[in-house]
Amino acid sequence: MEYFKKLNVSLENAEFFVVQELVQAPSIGEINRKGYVNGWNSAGVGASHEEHAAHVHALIKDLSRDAALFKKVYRYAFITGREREQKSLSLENALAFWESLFSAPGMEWKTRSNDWIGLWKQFLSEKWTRSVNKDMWNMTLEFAVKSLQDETLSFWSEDGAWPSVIDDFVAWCRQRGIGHASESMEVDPVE
Amino acid sequence: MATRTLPPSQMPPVPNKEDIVATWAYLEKGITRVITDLEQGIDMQMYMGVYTAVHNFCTAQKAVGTTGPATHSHQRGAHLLGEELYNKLIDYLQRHLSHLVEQSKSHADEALLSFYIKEWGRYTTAAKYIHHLFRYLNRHWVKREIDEGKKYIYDVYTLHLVQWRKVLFEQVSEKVMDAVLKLVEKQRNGETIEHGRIKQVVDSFVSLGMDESDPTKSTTDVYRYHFERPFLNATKEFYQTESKQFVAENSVVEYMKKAETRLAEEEERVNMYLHPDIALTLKKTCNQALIADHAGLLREEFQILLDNDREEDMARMYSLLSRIPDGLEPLRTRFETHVRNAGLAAVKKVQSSEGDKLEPKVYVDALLEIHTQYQGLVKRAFNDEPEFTRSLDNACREFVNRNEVCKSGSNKSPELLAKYTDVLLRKSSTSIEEAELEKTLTQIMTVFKYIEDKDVFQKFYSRMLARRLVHSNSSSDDAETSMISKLKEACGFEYTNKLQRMFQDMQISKDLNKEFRDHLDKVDYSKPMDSTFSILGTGFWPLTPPSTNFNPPPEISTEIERFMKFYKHKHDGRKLTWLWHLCKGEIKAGYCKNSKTPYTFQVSIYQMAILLLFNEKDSYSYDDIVAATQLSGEVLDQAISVILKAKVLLMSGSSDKPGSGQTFRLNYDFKSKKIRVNLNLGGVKEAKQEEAETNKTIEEDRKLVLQSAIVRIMKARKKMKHTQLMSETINQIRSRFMPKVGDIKKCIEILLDKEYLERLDDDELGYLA
Repeated sequence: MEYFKKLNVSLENAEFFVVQELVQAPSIGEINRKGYVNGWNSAGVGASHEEHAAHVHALIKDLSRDAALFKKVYRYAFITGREREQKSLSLENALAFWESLFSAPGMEWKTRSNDWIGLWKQFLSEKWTRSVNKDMWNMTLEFAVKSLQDETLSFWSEDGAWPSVIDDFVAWCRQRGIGHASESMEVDPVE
Repeated sequence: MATRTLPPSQMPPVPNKEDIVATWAYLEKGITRVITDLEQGIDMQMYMGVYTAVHNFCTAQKAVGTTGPATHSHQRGAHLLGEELYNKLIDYLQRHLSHLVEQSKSHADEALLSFYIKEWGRYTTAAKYIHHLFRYLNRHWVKREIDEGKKYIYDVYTLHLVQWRKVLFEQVSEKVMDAVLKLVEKQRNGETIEHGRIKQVVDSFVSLGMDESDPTKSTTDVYRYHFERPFLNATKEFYQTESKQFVAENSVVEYMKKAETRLAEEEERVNMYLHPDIALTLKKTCNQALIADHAGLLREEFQILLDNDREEDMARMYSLLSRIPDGLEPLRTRFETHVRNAGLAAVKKVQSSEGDKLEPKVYVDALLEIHTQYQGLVKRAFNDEPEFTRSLDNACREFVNRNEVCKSGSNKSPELLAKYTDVLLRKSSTSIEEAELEKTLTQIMTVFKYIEDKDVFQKFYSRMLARRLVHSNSSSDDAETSMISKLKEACGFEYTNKLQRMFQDMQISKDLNKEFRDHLDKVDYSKPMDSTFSILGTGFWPLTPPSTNFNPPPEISTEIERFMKFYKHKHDGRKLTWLWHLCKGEIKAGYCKNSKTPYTFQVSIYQMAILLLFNEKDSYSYDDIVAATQLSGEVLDQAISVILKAKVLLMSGSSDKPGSGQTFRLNYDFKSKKIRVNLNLGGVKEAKQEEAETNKTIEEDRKLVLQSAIVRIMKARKKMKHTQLMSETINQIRSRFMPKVGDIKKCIEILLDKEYLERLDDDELGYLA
């Protein structure tokens, strides 16, 4: 944890996960030698903390714009967040991770018309009791990206490959009048 | 010919062969005779004269040509003079025909027909003669011209036809055709006509079909244009008018009869006097005017016919509409809907009259009745057409799987069907005859074919089969075998595998019991009881161990130990689990004061354990019995309540329900009309419980079946689109049950989680070995 302070990285938001991914931390706040060395070697920056900090902050700046980088960081969050010997993430951790990843400096899953991350959390707290497996974790990002591009959710179809939890979420949203089929668009245009 | 007693012909001597004018004058005389007056005949002299004149004329020019100054021009000379003769003939024919045209103007209608036919006959006969008379011209000049590729030069006979067509036909054919059509209309209106004449006209029109560019070929163009076309038009007009009027004044059913008659008439007409070529187009025209133009009206009527079971009229409608393209499809759709509704209504009816106590037989009979009724209709009225059979199947599948009864649970249809089969195959006082039974089983299979959830049927069937086998109350082994082979035929080996193994187990058990008995005889012991054991393979029988502890009475346990020893000796290492809840027996009661012959109680083994206690003492407390038998309260209460109800035991205590604190006492005054008393009665609750249990296992089994199907597919394909995998899975599973998309999805997710599968880009899934 000391290390994160040295890099001037917040533990409360997506910044934390950037570093986790960079050094391939096996669990929260745990860094091993191999991951550290390999990570910084491939990043190709100098050895001082100042240089590290500069690199990390450059990455953080790009995080919300660079989809590939965000995906890498997002997916790694699942690996780092699991309890040992577990295949899935506890719902509690997953909710916290989503909260920090889907807000600045991460990818904001929120628009002027819909607070998607809020809806998602509300939906899960009402309807979901189990832990979050890898598929659900990964597909949530896919869904988030798509939903930001098309808030009518018209990309979704019943026959699609979405996990059933996403299917249920779409149905849940539509019940609330969110994400109508495209003909009845009530959503404000998004800049 | 020379012998004929004709007046000597007035033919002058054969003219000078080089003089065309003289020669033609000579020839014309002969030709006129042939054309106008052949009835009088021609004599040999005349025939020879004309023939010679033609020959001479043609050859003479050749001779002149060779003696002339230009040797090379002789061909041309002959050529020219042949042509002269040919043209003279044309000229003559045209004059003759123009004359006929003039004459024709004084005739109309039937008279015109007669005139045309007469002149045509005369003309063509003459043409044949003249063709022969001019043979020399044909063979040489005409042949050479044609060989050289000259157009519009014909042999003499064809020339006649060409001229007829050009001069006479062009002017009169329309009038002739009018007369023909009037005649046909008369016939259509019911008058008798001389139809031979029409045939002659047809023949004449067909003969005139010569291909102008190649005289060796004939075409039907002339006939088509001048006969067929107006004929079809007239037909169309006639039937359009007639049908319109008829429909306005009569019922649709009457109209169909009328149309049927008309169509048959037209077919007959072709045979009678038309060219066979017209058959197809005429049929088409009639179909259009008589059927297609009224198809909407007919189809409207179809529902009424269906509602009133007017089989004959439906058959008529089928045969009419089958004549036009796409005529039947709307009928099939209506038929399908109708059958489906009939099925749904039938189910609703039995459901509302029987309610929850709906007997399986009543339900299945209701389904069968509809199927039988409409299958008969397809056979008798719709020619057993495969497409109609398919509509029937679709409808049946719908109302068998989704009806009022199935609303309470989609598994209801297969469940009731299996139960009905059980009723049939179980020994009972109202057993039906073997032949009748076989027939009913075949009917069961008819319904089975439509069942979508075949796995549900299998589940219930195997449970009930197990019960029949264990309690040996099958009505007939043959019927059981027959049913299984029917199921095997319908669904394959895998479907019936376990069922067959169950039969085998029973057979093996039978032999085993015999061996056991022989073994006991050898070791010589006095047996307190007769026992039978059934050894049932765990994997094949849908049975679960009892839910309660049980301490069998000593009489039983010694026997069981003996058997265990014997069995272990035979098959070392096998584990035996006792299914107490399926065991039953009979005990004789010698204590009763009221009867000389001892009563026999048919009991479950739990009841036996309870009753045998009273061999020692006349009274036990509830807790004593629990201690002795180790039975759970629920099972004990159930077993003892039947005994109490029959008053074999009497209960005393503060409550009227068995329980701790109650005391049970043997009733010495027990009385019964029957010597054998059945106490082994299962409760309704148990049956309900079993039903629920069966339904639960179905859901679990389905998940496994789905997952293994998905893994199988993915293993073969390695990579697959999500939607493709869905449809492939449905395809593979459909014969067992109709999987829901959501269920498949959940199974895919389970497999993703178990890392049998992985998600790839673009909605693709991959197989992980």
